[in-house]
Parts: sequence; C-alpha cells; structure tokens
Amino acid sequence: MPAAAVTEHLFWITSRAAGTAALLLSSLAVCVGLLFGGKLVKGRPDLRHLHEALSLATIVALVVHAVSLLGDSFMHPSLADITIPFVSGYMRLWTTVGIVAGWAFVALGLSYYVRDRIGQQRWKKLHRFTALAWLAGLAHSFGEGTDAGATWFIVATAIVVVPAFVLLIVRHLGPTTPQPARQAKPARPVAQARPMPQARPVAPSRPARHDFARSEIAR
Amino acid sequence: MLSQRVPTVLSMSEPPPSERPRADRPSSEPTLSPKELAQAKLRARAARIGRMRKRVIAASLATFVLAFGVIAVDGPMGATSAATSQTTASVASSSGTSGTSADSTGSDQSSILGDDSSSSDGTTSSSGNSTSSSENQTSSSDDQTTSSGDDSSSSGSSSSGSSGSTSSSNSGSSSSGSSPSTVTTSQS
Repeated sequence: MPAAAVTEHLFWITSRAAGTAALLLSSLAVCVGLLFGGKLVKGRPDLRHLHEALSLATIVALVVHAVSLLGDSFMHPSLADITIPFVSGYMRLWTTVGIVAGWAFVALGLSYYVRDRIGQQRWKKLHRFTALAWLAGLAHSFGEGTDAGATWFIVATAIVVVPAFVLLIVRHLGPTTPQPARQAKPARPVAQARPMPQARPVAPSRPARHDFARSEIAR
Repeated sequence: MLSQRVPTVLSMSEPPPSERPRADRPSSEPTLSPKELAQAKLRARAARIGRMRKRVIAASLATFVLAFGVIAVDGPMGATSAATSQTTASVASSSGTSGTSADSTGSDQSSILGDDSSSSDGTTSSSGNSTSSSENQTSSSDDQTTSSGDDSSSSGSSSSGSSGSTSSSNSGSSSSGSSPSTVTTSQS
C-alpha cells in the first residue's frame, strides 16, 4: 500500500492494530492470571506483576483502539458511538459487545487498586468476570473485525487464545487442587491450663431497685 | 582531573581485592544485618519488576507496530466492501430489468469483484477482467451478439458493455442508465 493510502487511513489502521494488540495482550494477561491464580505455577511470585503489567497494557491498547476511531474520516463515529452501547448504527450487536467488553475490562482491571475498599473476597469474585469480558472481546474481534478472516490474524490469535482457553477450562472444569489439611492443634491438657483469672466483681445494676419497684407496682 | 587518583606502581602491582586470599581480608568486614539484607532483596525485586514492566511495554509496542505494518501492507481498507455492496445492488437492479441472462451477468460481476478485492487500486486489471467477461457473454448468448457488439463499440469501458449488452435486448434506456453506475462503483 502506498504511503498516501496509509496516511489517508491512518486512524483506521491505528485502531485495527491497537485492537489486535489489545486482544493479544488481554489473552496473555488471562493466561498469566490463570496460571498463578490456579496455583498451576508455584514459586514465581513475579507472575502477579507480569499479569498487572499486561492488564495495564491491554487497557492502554483498548483506549487507543477506541479513541483512534474518532479520527477516522470514513466512519466519523461520535464519542457516544464508541462509548455507549446500542448507539452506533454500524454492526450494532458486535459494536455493543465490544463496548461492553471494553468497559468491563477497564473497570475490572482498575478495580485491583481499590480492592481494599471492595473487600478481598468480593473483589476475587468480581475479578472472575474478566474472563467473560475477554470472551466478549474475542467475539467482538471475530464478529466485527476487518482482519478476522486474515490468516495472520487467526494464527496470531490462536497462539495466545488457545492456551488461555485450555487454562480456563482446566480452572473451571478440572479438579480443584486439594487444600492442605490444617493440622489440628492438640488440645491443651486441663492440668496445664492457665488458671482462670478471678472474676471481676459484677457492678450492681443501677436501676435494679427501680425495676423491683416497677415489678412490684405491676403486680 | 586533579580529583582523580593516578594509579601508582604499587597499586597496579597489587592484585585486585577479589583475587586476594580470604585470610588477607580484614576480619572486621561488616556483615549485612537482616534489615539490610531484606532491603537489598527488596531492591533486587523492584529492579526485576521494573525490567519486566519495560519488557511488557516493549512487547506491546512491538505487537502494535507489527500489526500496523501488516495491516498497512496487506489489510483491506474497507473500500472493497462498500464497492461490493454497491455493485451487488446494481447487479440486482440490472438482473431485475434483464432477466434473460442473469446468471451470466452475476458470474461476470463476481469475477470483477474478486479482482477488485485482490487489488483495490488497480483499475487496469478490473477493466481487463471485465473485457473478458464481455467476451464470455458474447460467446455464450447468441441472440445478444449484435447488442453486445454495439455496446463494445459504443463504450470504452467493458464492464458497462457487458451489463449493457445483457439488458439492451429488453430495454435500451434502462440498461444504459444502470451500466455506468456499475463501472464507477467497481472501479472505486
């Protein structure tokens, strides 16, 4: 393609390339997350940071993918078209799937930094929906993507998507790793038990006399 | 310059500290306290994480640039799909008017589209392909030989000749109206 044509379609090519990069990076992030989340790889605590870096790179690629569409002279989408579901008239279903997946990626990814407020257990449950967002993004790219039929795209996607699929299936359908049973502490013998401290003298309740009086009155 | 120490003969003759025997080392060498050891480990871990982040950024940029290059060189720009839809619409309209040799017209248009999808900016190849389609039509339909000859002589672009020849046997005015639109859409 001549340089003039590339310049003419610069935003369009940028958006497609960023979308491809986002798909590949998100698949890698899902792979790494499933690896260390499912305790499939032990002794590599740096995988968490790799997962974080890949997720942040995915978010950046998603933002570039969406924002660069604004400059496309052929489609001329508005900000609402690329951010609000069911607004765009161009392949509405797949565009909506992509928008929802993108927002879910951003929200679920950035929720890591506020997990203390959310609560660890609740955040872990929430974070599982990232796999759903990834699947939606995959459907968006193959349903609407211009390069979905290209061989290079299919091969590049399969290299990272297939392992992620396998790990996802192993995680959800495979046998759960048995937790090491906690050794029950032997009960402390009674003889060695510490002597109970002397019970404090119970402070007399103040309204006792009035209560007694009331009960007497009630009789 | 003055602050730098000039190496003396004595210092050059001395072996480096790593080659000294351990017995020569002072016994009062400060050993790392647990706190310093932990700090050193943390520092090494931070450096490792920093290197990993840089690698992820580099890999992301490389992926983006690679995808950009492949799409710019090989990827369709979407103009062919628009031309396809428009040409298909024109084919449908022309088949609706002609009806006698709709199959041959459809096959010719599909061959033109196939040529367009392979090279979107090549006008000579599409015209060459459409010339062969008009020849096919001339040879296939005997009753349209005269009209196709008229069309090929009247219009320089051959795809208009092919579709025009198909429909000119039925209605001349409608065929001449539909065929130029086919030419413009397929070449764009």
